[in-house]
Amino acid sequence: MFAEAFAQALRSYRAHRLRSLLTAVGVMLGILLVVVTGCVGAAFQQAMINQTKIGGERSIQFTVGSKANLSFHYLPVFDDTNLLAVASTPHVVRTAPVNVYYSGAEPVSIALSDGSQHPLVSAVTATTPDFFTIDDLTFAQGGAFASAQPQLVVGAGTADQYGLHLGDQVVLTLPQVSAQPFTLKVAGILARLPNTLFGNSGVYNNLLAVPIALLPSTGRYVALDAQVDSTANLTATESGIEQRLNAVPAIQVALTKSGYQVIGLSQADNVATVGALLGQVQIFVIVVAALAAGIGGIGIANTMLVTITERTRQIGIMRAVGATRRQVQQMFLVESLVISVVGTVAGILLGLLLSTGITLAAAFPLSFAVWSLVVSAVLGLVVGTVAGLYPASRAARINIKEALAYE
Amino acid sequence: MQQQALRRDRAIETPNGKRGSMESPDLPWVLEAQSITKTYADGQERRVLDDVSIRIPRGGFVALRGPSGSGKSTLLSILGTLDTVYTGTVRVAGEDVRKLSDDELARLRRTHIGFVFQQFSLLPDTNAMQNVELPLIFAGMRRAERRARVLEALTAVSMQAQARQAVSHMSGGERQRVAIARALVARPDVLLADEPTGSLDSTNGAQIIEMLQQLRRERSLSVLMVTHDESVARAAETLYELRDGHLREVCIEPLDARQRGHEEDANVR
Repeated sequence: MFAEAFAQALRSYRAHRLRSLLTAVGVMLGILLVVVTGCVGAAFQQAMINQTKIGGERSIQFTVGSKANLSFHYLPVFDDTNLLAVASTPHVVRTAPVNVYYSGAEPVSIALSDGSQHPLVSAVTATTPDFFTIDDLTFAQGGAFASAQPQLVVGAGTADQYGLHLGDQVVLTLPQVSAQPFTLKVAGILARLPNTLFGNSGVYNNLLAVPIALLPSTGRYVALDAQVDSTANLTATESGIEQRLNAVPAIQVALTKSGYQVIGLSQADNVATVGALLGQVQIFVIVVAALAAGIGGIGIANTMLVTITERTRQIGIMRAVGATRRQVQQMFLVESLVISVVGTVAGILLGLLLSTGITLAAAFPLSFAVWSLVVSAVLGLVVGTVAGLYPASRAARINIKEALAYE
Repeated sequence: MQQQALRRDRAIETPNGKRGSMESPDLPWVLEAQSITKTYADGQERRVLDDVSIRIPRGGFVALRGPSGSGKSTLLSILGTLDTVYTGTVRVAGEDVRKLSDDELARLRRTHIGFVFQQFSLLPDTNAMQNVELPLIFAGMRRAERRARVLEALTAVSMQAQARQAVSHMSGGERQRVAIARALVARPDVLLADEPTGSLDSTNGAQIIEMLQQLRRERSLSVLMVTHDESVARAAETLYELRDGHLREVCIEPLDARQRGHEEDANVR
């Protein structure tokens, strides 16, 4: 019976090609939206994840701020005891204290070997050699500075900006730390990282890092970097250390007025934030798409009602020759489903095509959101069934005698 | 022998949907209506059928005539279980149709009753085969068996060569043959024909009547035919006339007697 109902549906589809096609297009647009949103969203998310990998998949930076909106501040609240506490945490394999100096009332400047002096736009990072390993940075030339040696490491952007080469000597004026300038030799230049919308590539390209041991000790750090043994232990270790540091009385006192707390920021946090953001966008678009598919469904219902009116006499004939009400209902339900399935399949195929085009054009990694295909298929079936139910049951209720007399 | 084989295999299911009983009860009447009264209440109450009773014998050929609007088609609809709003009793193959559900009535129609309409009532955008197989599809018959039965029915009306021809490209006579094949394909007990020659010219009309007569003889089929055509009415074994809601049996005059009557009238004049 289903095969015959399907054959009849195809005959009807062919007989009213344009009408059926336009109705299917209504469904197709809704489905197209779901697929494009799903696939482009997934590709965008993957691109974001790839970008957040810059800076180390296993690294965490502990600063103070708010985790809810991923905002952080460099406040000198950590000391060597805290660093030791982080280093002794299970799964932590290496740590690095970090201080960051910006130009402010006392400008940071750099004097080059040719005698020219330049105000430093980017910050100066003071840290230990492990910093480069923790943040998974690779060198184009040279390597990490040696601890307490008068050396510096620069990012590719910084090297370009000041025309620095490996072995060049520069004089760094860092009035926040010392009245005496530091004469430093370029020990390493980082490999250039691609510019990304999201992530830390800009920070590393513009890096100017010096050994923290070289500078007079303040006993305070604005950040503590840590690397864990595997990404599987990242989140648990991060939250464990957060709790531990937030429980330190000295830190609590230091942060009382600010309202901040110690937060760990890692790739997992970035991914979660991006995912949550995209999730919200996707839910919104799916609601819009469901509405569009619903409108498509109304189109199907309308077409089916017209079809049933046109075929009233046929329904009478079918009932006269022995069709039960259920069989008539099935026949029109299948017809409604055929329109919906045609729209859904076309929507999925065009959606995949369009999202591939957008993904390639935006240079995102190709990613197909299987969930969007499943949602589309289910949506198509639901729309086809719901839209066909009323017209089909109306067809089944038609009075045979009146239907046979229908002109 | 061939006829017996056809008869044994005729019913594909019983009205209550149970398979197994392949033959209708061995009753003298395939269709029986008692005290049928049908009233239309369109503005004012109008009694179209008033205490009408009729019996269609197994293998019989019954014609029903009457003026336009006399209720012939209404009676045919009631007998064919297409209209269920009336008072009285209708039995099809011994089954009181009032006791059957809507689904059981559908099964009863496809098992015991074949319909032929004046306007052919074929499905457009289909070929002869697709039209004829319709009752078998609803009976749930397998495709291969269905195709064999359809070809058999089309052969019976000499339309086997046009099996795959679109009905929209057929002449009126051909369409009516396809309609008859569809009515026969489920091997019913009775054929209810509502002016089957009404849309045909006299030659095609005569051929259709001749075909129905032949099928009736070959298949022990009962035929109840509504007609306006006097010659068609005379081909029947029993003739009823419906007038003012009342049904009466009319004596069929042999053609030569009628002709003699005309000649006598002429002599008197």
